[in-house]
Amino acid sequence: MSVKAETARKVKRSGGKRVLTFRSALKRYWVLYLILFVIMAYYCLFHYYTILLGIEMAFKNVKLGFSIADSPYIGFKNYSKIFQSRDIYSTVINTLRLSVSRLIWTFWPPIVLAIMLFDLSSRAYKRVCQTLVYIPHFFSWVVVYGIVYAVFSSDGFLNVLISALGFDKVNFLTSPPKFVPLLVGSQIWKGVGWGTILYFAALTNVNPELYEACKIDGAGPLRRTLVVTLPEMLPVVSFSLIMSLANILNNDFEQVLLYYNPSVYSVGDIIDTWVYREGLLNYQYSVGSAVSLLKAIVSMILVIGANFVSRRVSGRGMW
Amino acid sequence: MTGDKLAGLDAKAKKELLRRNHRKNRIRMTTEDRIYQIVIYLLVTIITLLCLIPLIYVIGMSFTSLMELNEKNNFVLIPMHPTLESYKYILKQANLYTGFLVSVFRTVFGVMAMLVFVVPGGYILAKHELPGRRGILLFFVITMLIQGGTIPSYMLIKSLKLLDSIWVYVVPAFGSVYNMLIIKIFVEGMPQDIIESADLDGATELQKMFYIAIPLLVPTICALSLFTGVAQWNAWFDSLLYVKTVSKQPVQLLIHQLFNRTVASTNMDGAGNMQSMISDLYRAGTDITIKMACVVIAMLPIMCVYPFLQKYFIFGMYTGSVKG
Repeated sequence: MSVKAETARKVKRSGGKRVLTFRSALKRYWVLYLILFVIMAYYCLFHYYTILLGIEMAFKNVKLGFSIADSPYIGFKNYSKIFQSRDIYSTVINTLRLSVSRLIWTFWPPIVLAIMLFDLSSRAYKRVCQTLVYIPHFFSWVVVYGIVYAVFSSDGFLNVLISALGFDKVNFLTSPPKFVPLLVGSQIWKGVGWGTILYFAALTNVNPELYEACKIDGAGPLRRTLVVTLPEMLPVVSFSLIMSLANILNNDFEQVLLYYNPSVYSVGDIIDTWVYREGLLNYQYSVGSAVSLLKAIVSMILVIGANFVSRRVSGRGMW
Repeated sequence: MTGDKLAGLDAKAKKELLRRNHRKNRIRMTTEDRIYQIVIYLLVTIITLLCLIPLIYVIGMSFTSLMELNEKNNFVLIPMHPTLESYKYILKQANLYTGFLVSVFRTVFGVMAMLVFVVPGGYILAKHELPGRRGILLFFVITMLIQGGTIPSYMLIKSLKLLDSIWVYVVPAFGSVYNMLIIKIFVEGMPQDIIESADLDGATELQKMFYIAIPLLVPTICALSLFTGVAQWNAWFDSLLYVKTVSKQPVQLLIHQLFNRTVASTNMDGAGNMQSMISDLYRAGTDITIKMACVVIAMLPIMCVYPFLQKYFIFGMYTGSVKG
């Protein structure tokens, strides 16, 4: 029996739905399976293998100069070492402090800006402003740090202004209490415009008749925002809020690495920078892997949980 | 009344009349509305300016001479006597040339690598009749949820002998499950008749992909390429981890080291050859104007590309947010 006839028979049997057996599919689509196989092999090496490597290293004592395979298993000793050291608690606290302030301060500005942009009466002006506020998003953190340096360094824009007004210069870049505001502030600067796109898309889908009905009922602009705009945005807002809660352990590692220096370690040292510094630069491969493994597991649980909650609450999830 | 009027008109005139009526009947702005409009115009303008002023300041500084900077006590937004001094200086540095070339290299090849896996992968995953598809999909999605982390990745790159090689920017760039899923969603959204019509002409699976699906995917592919290209251009951390030869480092890392020389010592092998890393650029580049010129050079390509490709960027963001 030819392949085609075979397939036709199968299709008929399954009630019109095209379901192939693996064998006939392999015959027909072998090229596609081959491509998939190559891609999956790549992922096995670059993702699954590194995950396994991470697990292996977390339970071994890998010393500099020894291969991972030759190193002895030491059970949970790496973890007991981690929990005995003081560092880990302060890095967790720093991570959470940074994430929470990031969440609080970068969450609402895009929403407010999106509403304001949406309400602008001139269409041309709206487009110009949108185009311009997106720009900072495309710069690397290196460039953003360059700009921050130009503005906040001891003889930068702001300090010149401050000393011109007769006040003392402020050390923005090296003072611990200013570290988190500086970090979060530049995140706002970089992301506020770009963040509006998601909300703007939601706003353009709102039925304009709702606004007209509201106007006829005599509602002012603020009332309209409260009664129409915000409820219409709620699903998107709750989705992105839940997703940012899931990412509470993930800071912008590259950004912190650029901004921090030894004088602000007390507030700026987060889990990722600690793993990088102690694990890689100081060759404590095992301890570093142990910390990242723990972090990866916790974040995975958070993301899956958040997705579940989001599906329940807003009806949309990541997958 | 409008009904009578509309009856005797052709479609175009009808539309015009309706539009005019709509305008006439538009709900008038109240005072409250006007105040609100003024407030939001002001606020949006201020926010837009806040996004732009730092950029103008940086660009202005890069064109300022040190003399003018001293005279004006470091406060220059737009220089009175613009000069190309700092650019002339940094263009003399060989490092920046190679850095620029490395950045271009990794952008071009990184995008190509991404497309090689993402487009066929996404196309195949969209084929619902393929047995085992769900399992394979799960295989890919899991990699988004859990990652190995920095240290195992470093070990892998080391054992692949990619340390200090320029290909370290390209080899890990093949995989992007997120982009693959976006392609998959777009292929699923295509009218299936088009793809199936090719079956009648006896097209093979590969022919269907190359001659039917890919031409329809061009806007999506453009958007994904742009995002990947920008990410590649902006990347620096992988280079900090894996590459210590200055001539193989991209612009972004060179600039980072210009600002933060203490972090520059990432010698994984422990051999303290710091000297080779501190090049002439860093020795002399302590002047703020030169630093700013470097920053401008790093953002230049993006500034040049942005106005033309803006719609693709936004298209990409929409697909990422709405569909993903």
